[in-house]
Amino acid sequence: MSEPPEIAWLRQQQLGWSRRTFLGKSAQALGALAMGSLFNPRIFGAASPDPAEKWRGIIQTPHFLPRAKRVIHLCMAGGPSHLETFDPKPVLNRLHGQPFPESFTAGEQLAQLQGKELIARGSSFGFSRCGQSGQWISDLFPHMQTIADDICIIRSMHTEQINHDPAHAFMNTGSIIKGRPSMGSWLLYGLGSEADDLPGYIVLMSEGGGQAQPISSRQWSSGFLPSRFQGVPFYSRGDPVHYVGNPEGVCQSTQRQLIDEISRLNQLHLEESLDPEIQTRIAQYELAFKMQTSVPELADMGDEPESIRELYGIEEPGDGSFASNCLMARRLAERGVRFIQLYHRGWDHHGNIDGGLREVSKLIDRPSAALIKDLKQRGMLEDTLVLWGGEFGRTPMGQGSGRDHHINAFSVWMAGAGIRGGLTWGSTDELGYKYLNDGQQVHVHDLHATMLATFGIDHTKLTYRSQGRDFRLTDVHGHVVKGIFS
Amino acid sequence: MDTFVTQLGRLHPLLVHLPIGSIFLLVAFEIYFRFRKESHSGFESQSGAAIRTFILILSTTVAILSAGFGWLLSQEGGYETNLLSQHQFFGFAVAGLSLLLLLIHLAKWKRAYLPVLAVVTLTLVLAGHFGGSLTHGSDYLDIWFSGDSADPVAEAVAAEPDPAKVLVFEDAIQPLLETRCLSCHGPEKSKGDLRLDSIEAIQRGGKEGPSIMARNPSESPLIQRILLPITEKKHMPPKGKPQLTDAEVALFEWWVQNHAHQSIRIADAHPPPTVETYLSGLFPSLETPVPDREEILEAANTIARQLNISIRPLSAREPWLEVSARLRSTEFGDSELAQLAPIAPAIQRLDLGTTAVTDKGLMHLKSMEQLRQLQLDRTGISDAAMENIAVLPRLEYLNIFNTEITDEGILALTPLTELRSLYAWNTRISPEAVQALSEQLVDQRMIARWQADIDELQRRIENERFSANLGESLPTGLEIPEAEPLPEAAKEEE
Repeated sequence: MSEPPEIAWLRQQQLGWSRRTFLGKSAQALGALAMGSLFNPRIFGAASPDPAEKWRGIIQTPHFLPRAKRVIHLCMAGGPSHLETFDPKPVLNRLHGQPFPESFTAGEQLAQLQGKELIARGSSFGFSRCGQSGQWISDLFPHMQTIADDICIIRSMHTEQINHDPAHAFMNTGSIIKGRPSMGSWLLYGLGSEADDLPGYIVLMSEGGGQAQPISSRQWSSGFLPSRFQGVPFYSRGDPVHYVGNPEGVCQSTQRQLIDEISRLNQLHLEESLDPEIQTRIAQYELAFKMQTSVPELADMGDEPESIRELYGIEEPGDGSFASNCLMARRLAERGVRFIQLYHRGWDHHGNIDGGLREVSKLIDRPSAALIKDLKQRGMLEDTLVLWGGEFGRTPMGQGSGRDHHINAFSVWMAGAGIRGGLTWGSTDELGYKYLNDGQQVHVHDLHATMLATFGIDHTKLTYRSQGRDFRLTDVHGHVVKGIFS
Repeated sequence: MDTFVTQLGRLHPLLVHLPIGSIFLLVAFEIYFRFRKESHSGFESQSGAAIRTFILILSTTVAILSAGFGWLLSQEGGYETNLLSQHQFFGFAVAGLSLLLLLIHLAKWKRAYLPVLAVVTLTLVLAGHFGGSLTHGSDYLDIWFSGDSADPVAEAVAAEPDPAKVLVFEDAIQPLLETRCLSCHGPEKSKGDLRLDSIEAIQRGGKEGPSIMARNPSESPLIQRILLPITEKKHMPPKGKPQLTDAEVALFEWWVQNHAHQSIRIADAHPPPTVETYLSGLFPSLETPVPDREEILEAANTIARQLNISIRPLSAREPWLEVSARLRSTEFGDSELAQLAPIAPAIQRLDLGTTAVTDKGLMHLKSMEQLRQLQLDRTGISDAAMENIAVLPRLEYLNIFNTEITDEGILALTPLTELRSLYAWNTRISPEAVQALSEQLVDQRMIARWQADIDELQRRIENERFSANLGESLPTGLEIPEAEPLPEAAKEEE
């Protein structure tokens, strides 16, 4: 079998860099000699794939049987409290208003509560056992209670970063160091995207129900990976992408000629400079041309029946709400987009947590449940991995009428792609302060390893060489949480 | 008749061996002393006569007892009458002639002694032969003499290697019945009036009525008896006899469910994987060869680029593929589907959702014997497409949402025994039809049986639980907690 162009490309990249390193350290004469072969455009051209052609991924054969084809990450930005959502703590309710036991907090790093008097705070909201499985879900989420048997709740999540931006970076890239690729970029690099007329990694935003912390664009950056793998934010209000129409007097064939000519010039430039970012530029021109037809079709939600809008609780499609974004996520999933990330900024409840949670739940509960039901009735939940959760949890100690950031315990749920629905995985101590080290604890690295495993990828084998060493999404960590697979 | 007396009849198989032994001992005794003519211990001596008397009295007694018990046993019935009457005749003859021989010996009528002994011996051999035929089948010795592995199944294979001609009943079921069942339920001995030596006899059944109900294994006594726990008295084959393996049981169940009403070639019968593994073990020529991975991937690469569809391998070692034409939408139709032919045997997942394939075009699915997942949502297919889908023996997942399929269509899917997920939102299929299909596909009794097994295992685990108590003192510092203070917000609400 002939070598796939993706592999050849990688070989070329790494060869080029090692030669470059070599050149830097060699005598000029030797360097000049090597220059001849390095810059011979025919050598480069032969091994490089046509940048305008579809990227089919660096992983040509899966390491395990793949279940997932795409991810929808419902990122509850700001840090939802696990104590009011998926992790009921009766003992904490009993301790409400009393000093928080020091044995839990001595020597621990806290965010804004550091050095303050610590008072236990119980949950103001009740929990119910839901579905056949009897999973506990907060009464804040009457709709999510109806999908209890489809979702696997992980209560033993923990992370390493206590502030929003680094914690999001940690959740997306497994590191807080800038320049690392996010998980969506890793997936595109590894598997490519099914869609060739839409970006393979798309980000949508909504807000409401609490302090809306800013989300930096580094969260969907491709880091050291070629930038064709980065996430592309779409507008959630109005047109998802602006200016996709041709200016007056320009028809599609003129446009085609223009793109072809620009690509030809870029190709010349690429052969001279060998900068892989020019490949990205060529690929993006081609993609943008295709998006001139694909995006208007995508954005036209008029073909969605009233019953579907009703299911998601959408007042007006494209109104910037989380509900509208969820429907858009499903439409993107159907069109072969690999990684879809929805940020809802509204979970940072330092104060008035009860009011805030009521408000944010009204915005996200129904659409989250609707997305699962809609995917399921289309048979897509079998190959779509849905991840719901924030960047960290919140303290069992009150902060006035709210709660502070908390990294030792938080809850997320996963659904679809072979994840066992109706399962509650992992636990926290009786006050919800820290995950239990009972073999079911899940670190962010473990979550990443598990996510890659649903795609049939061994997380230790998806690597990229940068600055002289092989990197991976889980770096040197990560264990696949095998117990949550059905 | 009194059951105790009837039960005594069952001692017959034990007793019969005593006269055989003692009469042959007498024959050996006669021959030995014919050649060792020593006067004091020889044939003519006093002690010789005493030994002969002793053996003869013993033989006569046990022969008469055996004949009597044998008659009691015959009253139970279930034996082939012709063989039985022959065995009975010679059995009584042995008893009678032994008595006669004893009298001749006591009367010292030397001239008659040896000829009568010869007749007794011959009669004994004949009685033994017919008795053996009754219990082991009349062809028991034939098989033994053929010197083969005594495995009629293997013989059937050797005799019928052409995979195109191998039949389900004649070549797979019948040889099994011959080795496992016919010794009691055959032409010679038909316990419970049941014979299993032909399909007609099986359908006719025995005392309990027909032994199989086609398409309904759980109501078929044959299957019920096989599935009973071995500790049950009614379990078949009886405890102590060679048992059926799990694969053989699965074969019987599958046969009754799908093919008991017809004669069908294995090649056309679409067995489920467990049965198929068993059958291809029996008939290696039936096994479909695994396609060569390198060739398949090479072809897949070309086809993927030609048709601009996504084809991905599913494993690093095996040739299985996942093919998706969904994003080509209506540009992908029947002729494109036909072009998948070179890789068809390797396709396990096929996504044809939103494409322009038609009922007729789906005949190209036929060669995709490995297919497990099939998406046909939002296509123009109708009920007529289902006959092309019903032939996919391994199909586990079928998505037909937003199509015109009706109840009639999905009821045609009953041959898909492996089908576990059906997505049929926005079709004209009623919940009743889905219910009916699920009852056809999944044997609820089987699930109930597994549940019972789980309960039994649970009980055993409980039984094995060990706990020791070394006494315990109450920990200090435990106080009765304050009455529960309600969280503030909840108080406000009240």
